[in-house]
Amino acid sequence: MNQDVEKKENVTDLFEEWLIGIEMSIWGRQETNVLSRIESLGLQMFKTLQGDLPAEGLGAELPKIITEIAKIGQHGKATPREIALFAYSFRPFLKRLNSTVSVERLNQILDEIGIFSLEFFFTNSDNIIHAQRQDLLELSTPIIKLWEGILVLPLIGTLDSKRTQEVMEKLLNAIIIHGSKVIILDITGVLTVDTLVANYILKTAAAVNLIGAKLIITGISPEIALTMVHLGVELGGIVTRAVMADGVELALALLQKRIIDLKKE
Amino acid sequence: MDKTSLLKLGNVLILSIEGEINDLSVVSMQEMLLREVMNTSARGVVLNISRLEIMDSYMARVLSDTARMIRFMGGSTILVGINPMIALTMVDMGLDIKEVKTALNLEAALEMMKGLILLAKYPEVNA
Repeated sequence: MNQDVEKKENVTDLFEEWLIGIEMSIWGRQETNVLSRIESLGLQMFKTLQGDLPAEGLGAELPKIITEIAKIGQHGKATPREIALFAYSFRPFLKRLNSTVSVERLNQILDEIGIFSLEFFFTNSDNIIHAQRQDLLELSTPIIKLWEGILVLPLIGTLDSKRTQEVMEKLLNAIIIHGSKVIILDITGVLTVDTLVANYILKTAAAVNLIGAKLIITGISPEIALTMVHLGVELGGIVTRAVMADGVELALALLQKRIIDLKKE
Repeated sequence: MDKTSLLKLGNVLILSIEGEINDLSVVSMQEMLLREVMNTSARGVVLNISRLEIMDSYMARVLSDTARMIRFMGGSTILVGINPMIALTMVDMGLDIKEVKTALNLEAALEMMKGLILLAKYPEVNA
């Protein structure tokens, strides 16, 4: 009992000392509520390090704490170095930590924690990049309902097989949902059209045709037309127009509609 | 046979094919359809495959063959309701049914059929 009380005081003392160091590092510059969260995590860390530790690996508690810390750090724009330094900030206290485990083992655990935090940091970054790429894909291929029965799909950027596949699926589903008869595929924003891209466009046209709609390709600039002819790209059977306005006019004509000038009526 | 249903609407026959259909029943379906075209002297056939789950090369060939047979019998054929996944598979596999007309839904198909029947009746209008 007596020993227990002594232990607790010991932890609090070490914690206070540790806190001074932490408040002077990047972690001290965080907002107050974030700082208090870091403090409680630090205290948890001390308690865990002092308690029963597994002979091998990190156990369940330590990875949880360090994951939290890495998340907070990443949110507050901390570098991986700073996150690892947080883990190592406990090293000076290890000897004084009245633990049941040897100092060598504690050092080893601390090393592992540092590496674990880095590992987490990088996998988390990868996830963020992946999510952003997905968002970008969504943003760069909007499917717009131009009129009853007409869909517009402006393509922007470079086309690769994965992206084309996704765009194709999205487009075909949109055709079914909206019941569109004519689709305008605008490639003004596509930088280059090589044989591969042309093949994608041909495939899309064939699939759209199977579903029972018609594809019009617009936005073929002089440069693109030139490269396509030089590469020997054939877009057999697909209707093409230079500017989207012409495509819109054609689409309306296919639906037996037209735009009139009210002044001339 | 239980997986298909045949409806008659004026001089148009509507055949719906559903679920997974095996090669044998495809052939009997084809025979049944051709007999019905003769019996009802239908001028157009709409093949609705929106409930069809699998399209293989054999199925694609039977469909385009059927369309050609019906053309010999003086009718027109429209394929309707190819779902996106089937369309993608067909394009990837290079299954070609170019000679068969397609429509988005039954409504569009019947609208299209009116024009086709008129065209077949008075070919000189088009000429």
